Amino acid sequence: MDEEILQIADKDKEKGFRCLIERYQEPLYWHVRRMLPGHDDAEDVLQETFLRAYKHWGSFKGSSKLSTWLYKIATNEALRFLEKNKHTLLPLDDLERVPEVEWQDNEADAESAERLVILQKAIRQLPERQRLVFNLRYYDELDYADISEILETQVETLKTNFFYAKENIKKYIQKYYDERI
Amino acid sequence: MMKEFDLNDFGKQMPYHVPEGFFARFPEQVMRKVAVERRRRRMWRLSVGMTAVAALVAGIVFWTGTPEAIPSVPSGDYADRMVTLAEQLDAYLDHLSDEELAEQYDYYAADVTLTLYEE
Repeated sequence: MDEEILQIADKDKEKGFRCLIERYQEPLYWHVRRMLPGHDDAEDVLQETFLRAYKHWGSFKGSSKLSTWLYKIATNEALRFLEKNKHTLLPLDDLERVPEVEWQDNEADAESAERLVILQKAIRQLPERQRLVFNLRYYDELDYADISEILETQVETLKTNFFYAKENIKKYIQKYYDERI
Repeated sequence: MMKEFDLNDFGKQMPYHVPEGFFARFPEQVMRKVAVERRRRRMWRLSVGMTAVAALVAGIVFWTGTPEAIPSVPSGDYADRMVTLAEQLDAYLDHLSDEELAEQYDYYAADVTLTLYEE
């Protein structure tokens, strides 16, 4: 698929770039959204990601995968946004007040929705690096070589980050359910 | 106490809602911004190009000291110099970041002698 996009872009840059957006908008959206739970912020960052990709399209030489290149831009844009807006982000416990959090109507679905929110809270309380590595590995299912390129970190360090991320998530969730009893 | 922790019990679904039709609209939204950005850079190149031409002409006037020396149509050496200068400008612009471009654009956009030549 990436090859096709690059071939189209060689003949028609705008058409190729549109194909690129259509192919990667969803995975990148969710990657950014996991870092910034509000939709509007995620939309802004996603837009900036693609604008920056367009600006540097000419310098993409194919030395890395297209997906890795895009994830790297998206991650840096999201981190830049977080740094710029750290005083206005939702506090951790207010996750349920994010208007886009979906609560289902029936009991079984409400329980599933609650578990999803608890997991997100557990992930949000992780240190930034562990959170990034966990999201890229667990949700985006990227291999460690790709994550290494995106985060410019050695594979062994990433594996350690992922291990501790899971341990910290497990502790958070177990504590949550223990306190509920 | 919950049973042994297993991430598979949670799944990978996100508990966030996406506005209806967002992904259908988004590509067009980005391409519109791309078009705006391209026009902005083109106008800025034109503005800087005209400034360079004006500076070159002014330089020629002061160098020769006589108004008769101002060519009405660039030709020969003058045309070659302007082409080279335009190429150098293009190379310079390509290295600027969006923020630097915006800063310079705002500076030149206020110059009325340049805005006379806008498309």
